[in-house]
Amino acid sequence: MARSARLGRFQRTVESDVIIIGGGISAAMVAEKLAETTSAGIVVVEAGNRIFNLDERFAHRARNMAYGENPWPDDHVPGQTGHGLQSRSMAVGGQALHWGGTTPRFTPEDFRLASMYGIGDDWPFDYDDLEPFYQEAEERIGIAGEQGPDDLDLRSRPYPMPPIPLSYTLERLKEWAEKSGIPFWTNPVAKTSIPYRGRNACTRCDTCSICPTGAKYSPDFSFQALLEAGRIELLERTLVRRLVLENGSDRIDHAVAVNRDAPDETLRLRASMFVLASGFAWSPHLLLLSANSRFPDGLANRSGLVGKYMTGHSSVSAFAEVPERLYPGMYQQHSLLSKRFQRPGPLDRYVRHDLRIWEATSGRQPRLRNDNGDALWGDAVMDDWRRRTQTGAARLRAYYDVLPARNSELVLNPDLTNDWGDPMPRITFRDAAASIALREHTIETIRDTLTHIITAGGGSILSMNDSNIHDHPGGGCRAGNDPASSVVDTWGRTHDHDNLFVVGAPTAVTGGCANGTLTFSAMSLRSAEKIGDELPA
Amino acid sequence: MTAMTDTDRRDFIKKSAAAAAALGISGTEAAAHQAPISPGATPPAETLRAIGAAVLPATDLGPDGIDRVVTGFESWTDGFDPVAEMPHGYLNRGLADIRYGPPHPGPRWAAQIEALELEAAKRHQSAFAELSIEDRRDLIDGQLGRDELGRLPSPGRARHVAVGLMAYFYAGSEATDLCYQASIGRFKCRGLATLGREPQPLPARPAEDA
Repeated sequence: MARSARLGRFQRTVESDVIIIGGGISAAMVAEKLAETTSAGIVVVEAGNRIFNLDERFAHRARNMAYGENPWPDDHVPGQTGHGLQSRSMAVGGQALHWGGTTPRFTPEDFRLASMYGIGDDWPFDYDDLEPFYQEAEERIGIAGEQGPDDLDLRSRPYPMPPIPLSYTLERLKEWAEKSGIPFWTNPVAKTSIPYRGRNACTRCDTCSICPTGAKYSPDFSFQALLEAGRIELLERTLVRRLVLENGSDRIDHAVAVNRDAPDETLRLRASMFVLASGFAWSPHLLLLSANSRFPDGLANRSGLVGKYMTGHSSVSAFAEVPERLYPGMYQQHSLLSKRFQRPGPLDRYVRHDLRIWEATSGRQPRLRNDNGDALWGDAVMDDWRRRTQTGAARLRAYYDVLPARNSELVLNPDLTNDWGDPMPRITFRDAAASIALREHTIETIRDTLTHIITAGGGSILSMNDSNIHDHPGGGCRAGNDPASSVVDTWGRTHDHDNLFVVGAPTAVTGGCANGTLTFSAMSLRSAEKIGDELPA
Repeated sequence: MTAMTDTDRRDFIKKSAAAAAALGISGTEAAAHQAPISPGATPPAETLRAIGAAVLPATDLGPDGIDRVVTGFESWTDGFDPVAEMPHGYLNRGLADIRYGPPHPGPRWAAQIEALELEAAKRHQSAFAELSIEDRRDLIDGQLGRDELGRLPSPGRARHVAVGLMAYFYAGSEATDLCYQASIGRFKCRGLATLGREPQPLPARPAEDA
């Protein structure tokens, strides 16, 4: 039942130099950096639970493997939901508690689509501006990676850790795929190939959504360390409901929050600087919720673009039969990567995409009925399975970028409210006309490429499909130099409020064509550099 | 945060230990191992073993192996938590809702086992376990809907206990190793050192198990 939608009187005030709203990976990056480079008091506010349970993860993993149960129970906030969310996960650590840990960088082209290809919009910074922060993010998170070909895989310094080795099966798949003439190398990951900053080396449990050893980075480690060092105060189970302006000023004065353990008590969170690090959905959502008489369409929204240009990438996938014996299960989470088509050079018609290859079991799983429809029992099941595994299988997938339409949007949905009566988000992704016009060409081009890889290696296509989901979503508070066409500036500072930054995924201009978390982390660190300049040294 | 109470934690650890035992996980992975819980829904043991002998790969497993798999399945059934919270949906197009798992399959399976015994008595004037393997399969087949034979479901969603038992076995690391006749060790925490090597062939099964 909804509690009063009124904000109520303040029962408690928390004051700090900086308040970070959100407890995911972007918040962790900002908190870590500010803790190291400033003496500022830092409060991190997270609506979800604090799940510091490394000692219980083998047990949760066992339950997940045996019964398919959520290995992160209670990683959500009841009633805090919406349409079009990436996940219901909301906890200290955010969605990077259970991420796969895949951490490719974007390429220079991603930031210069308008300049280089005449489509979409340029970002307000380029790859070179972000490169030092990519490196910093890789070192903070702990990335194991392999330097790819220099022209495709631009880096100023080596990865902090050597790559996770390829499995025997992936070595075979690399040889097979490279018969196409396309180079592949090891996908970089936020997992330890060697002991790194207190984390043991990966032991290949192969359940990376619940890493039982802590070899995979998750932001709870950062928050735990910051708490132990006494550098942050963490208010978990505390839902920020509004941002409120100073009287007669466009600066943020305080945030209004509710402690879920004392739901009738209203908290006032005061600071000189506010950092909104709540991801692509909840960041624009809070800005829209915070509408007032001077900003009737929501804070930071003079441009009318808060909640607009929600972005991500779509994909084409294939399963292939590979003409040699492979051993699926050696490390199914690990994969091959190529950036050959992210850096295509000049194009007659635009198409860019990444390329990944995994081991697979497609068409090679045990079954209880054979192709003739006969029931299989006992030894016959195993015999049938064994016969079908004499050749291997691979999964190939290409993410291609889609340009968001202005009305690719998050809006407040008055028909769905949380326990406090606040409207929840409704997200509808829509592609820009340029992307719609390119879609058929893009899909056909990628299908041709996948077919070439599969057939060059003597394989055959088992299946191929297109998906227009918007994976690794971002946007909603897009960055830009022009206040009329963007919500935040190049550093993530909102154009409308001097002391309010939005960091990470929501500030993305486009979704790129590779997993976005490392890029969002690097962007957050770049923002933190500017934020830190304005806090006590 | 919503901290687990001591009772919650003990219950969770016991259930997790049952899951770990059912999966054949050992050592540090089952550090929390305790005695399995008793749910009161475990299928009758002798009939279940007779089902196992009829539907599991006897040549690869041998009698001891079948017994071990059935014991693991009993443990798995003991540890089942009805309507448990499932992983969240990813990239929800509609409302991102919390998902819950199926009810406990044990009572349904127990009724099926009872039905197998009744039918064995009526058709063959025999206990199910005394029937030939072929007769057992005929009785099981007669209970199954046609759509139940095909791709294996997750064990908890198997409508029939025989399919649940097979789904349980084939979901495990041992089944994969037996299929490939190689020590792949799927989902076992194996370290990175041997990752690049072709998995070793399985050791030969002792003759007495054959």
